Amino acid sequence: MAPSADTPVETNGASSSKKPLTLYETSTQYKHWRFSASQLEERRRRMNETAVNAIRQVHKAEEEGSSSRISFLTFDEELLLVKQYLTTIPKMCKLHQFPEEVEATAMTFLKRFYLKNTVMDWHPRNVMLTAIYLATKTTNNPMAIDTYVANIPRTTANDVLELEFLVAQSLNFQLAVWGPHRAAWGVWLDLQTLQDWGKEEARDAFAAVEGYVSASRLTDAEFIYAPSQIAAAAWHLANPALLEKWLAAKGESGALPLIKSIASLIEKEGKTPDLAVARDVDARLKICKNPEKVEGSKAYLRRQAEHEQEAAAKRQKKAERAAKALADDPFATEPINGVEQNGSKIGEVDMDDDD
Amino acid sequence: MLNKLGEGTFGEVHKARSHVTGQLVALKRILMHEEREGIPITALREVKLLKKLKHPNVVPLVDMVVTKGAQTRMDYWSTKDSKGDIYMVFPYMDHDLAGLLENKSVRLSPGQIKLYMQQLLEGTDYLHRNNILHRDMKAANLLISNAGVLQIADFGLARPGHSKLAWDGIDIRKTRYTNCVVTRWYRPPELLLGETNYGFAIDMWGVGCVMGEMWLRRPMFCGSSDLNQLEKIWSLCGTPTEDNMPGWGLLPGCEGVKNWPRQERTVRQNFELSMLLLDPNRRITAAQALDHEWFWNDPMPADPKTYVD
Repeated sequence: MAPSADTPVETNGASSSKKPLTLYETSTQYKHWRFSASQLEERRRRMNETAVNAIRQVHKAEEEGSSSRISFLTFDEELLLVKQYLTTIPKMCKLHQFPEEVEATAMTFLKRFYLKNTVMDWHPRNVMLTAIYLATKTTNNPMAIDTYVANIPRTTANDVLELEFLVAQSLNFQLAVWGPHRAAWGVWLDLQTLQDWGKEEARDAFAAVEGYVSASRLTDAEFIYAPSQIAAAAWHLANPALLEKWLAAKGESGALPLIKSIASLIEKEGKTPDLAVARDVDARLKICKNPEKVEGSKAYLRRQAEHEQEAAAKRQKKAERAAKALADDPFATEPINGVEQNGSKIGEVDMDDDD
Repeated sequence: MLNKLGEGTFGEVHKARSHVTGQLVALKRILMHEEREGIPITALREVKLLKKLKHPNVVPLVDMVVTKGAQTRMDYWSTKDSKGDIYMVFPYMDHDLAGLLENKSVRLSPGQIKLYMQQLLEGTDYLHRNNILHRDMKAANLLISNAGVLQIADFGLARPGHSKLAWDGIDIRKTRYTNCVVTRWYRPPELLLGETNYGFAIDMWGVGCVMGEMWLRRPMFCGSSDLNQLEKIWSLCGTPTEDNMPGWGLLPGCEGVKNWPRQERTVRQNFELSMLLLDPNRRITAAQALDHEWFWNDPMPADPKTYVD
């Protein structure tokens, strides 16, 4: 990996503080979803460790024997599986005739989701289906849920909707996504303003650019680089001479080394993973996934019982509080709604429907 | 959680105090009952739009809160009947304009009306420059703080307008939106007549209605049905003709009801009425309105710094 990939590429801070922000710089993508390559690796490694430890604890509590014989997924195996399901998204979108915006957005959603969650808790197949459905809504291409699941084998509307909250929350409700496909289109338009731009040549290149843009979606490029930089790399892969001419005309030839390093990232990582390897990982996932998430398992039932106990305790506490309010105020006929409740804090406000 | 403040397009609004910052906030709950299609697309649109917007006269989305039922890792739990809720968190604002106008003890000086209009137009201009149609402009959606700041709220019906670039081969002239938007009393004549290819001018009609409402202390046109709404508009602005509303007769809502008795515009042209022009193409834009001499005549807009509620 090129050394420049270890630090966020855009210059920010003091030097650019006087310039007005570009539209991209005001986006939630710029503010919250940019990482260096090493940050990404560190994040995934840590999340994987935490998950493995937590699942070991669950096994211990269940006394289902030692978990030491289970071969848990490593963080790069998790990533491989996510990538496998990323490659399914374009096929699913084609099946439903969704526009490219849905495909691009859903792929970003899926990748972002697994920067916050592990596949051992949430299987990427289900998350993928929810990510696509959510993307149809956030990009204004809605489809009725029944129509959507009708084309997908062994999937109910509930399977898709069940994870919607979780996915939206993992995305921090940051739903606007900036992909390189628009920037690539922009370069195409801009090329046409150059003198002697070679219509045939540019048109042929643009067809190839779209392929490289799609390939870039299988990589971490969008977390590390700006959409315009990825688009330039796609053009460079399609026709280096043309892109270099364009860069020179824009006075941006200095960006060439960076663009080349993005281009090599796309060439190296922008490929469908080996299906046999992915299958093997998926098979192992069946054994090592978090038992608390497996419906009907002992751990699942224990968790459910715990949850119900908590809810009952909460109801009890609430009833006591209401009774106390009633006792304190002889004129009150019912608990006063305006009484501020203790113990709840914003972010986890107690707003159960049970009162 | 303190108390219920009101009900919006798709959710209740509650007043609450943040235990983190101690500040009062308004929590807007996204109603999920009987939501067959998951999180409503209108809610997702609103969240996505609000996260992009940043303007003193547009209500800021401070945070999102998801209650138990949908937390991350290990905390996650969801039983079939309690799915958890999503809340949007906004700063608490003291009033909405509709409430202020109903309150007989609140007096609005012409300077204050100008102050509010200026802020309303600044906010509207910002939205329109960012290609956003609000689609529910009305006094009840304008929040006002005790410091005299006005903020446009409730983006439950808002959506991006026509993109300047034809994207993905969509012909912008053929774009169709639903015309079932905007609370009836603030709905412009082209929507009432069934136009589906409308633009930013629909918000400006609402702004004009709000301005009239500040003078009159009651909504300008309180139609009891869509047809009655049109009749109320005609009685002030005159019935539509090819001259004051070109192409009106071609709108789908006109079938069978084209024969209104002829009425002339009963009022002379002035600032607020240039927002209430029948022809959406001639209706003043927010940017033009901000440049209008009305804002530079006496009395000048009141200074929010000297504003005492």
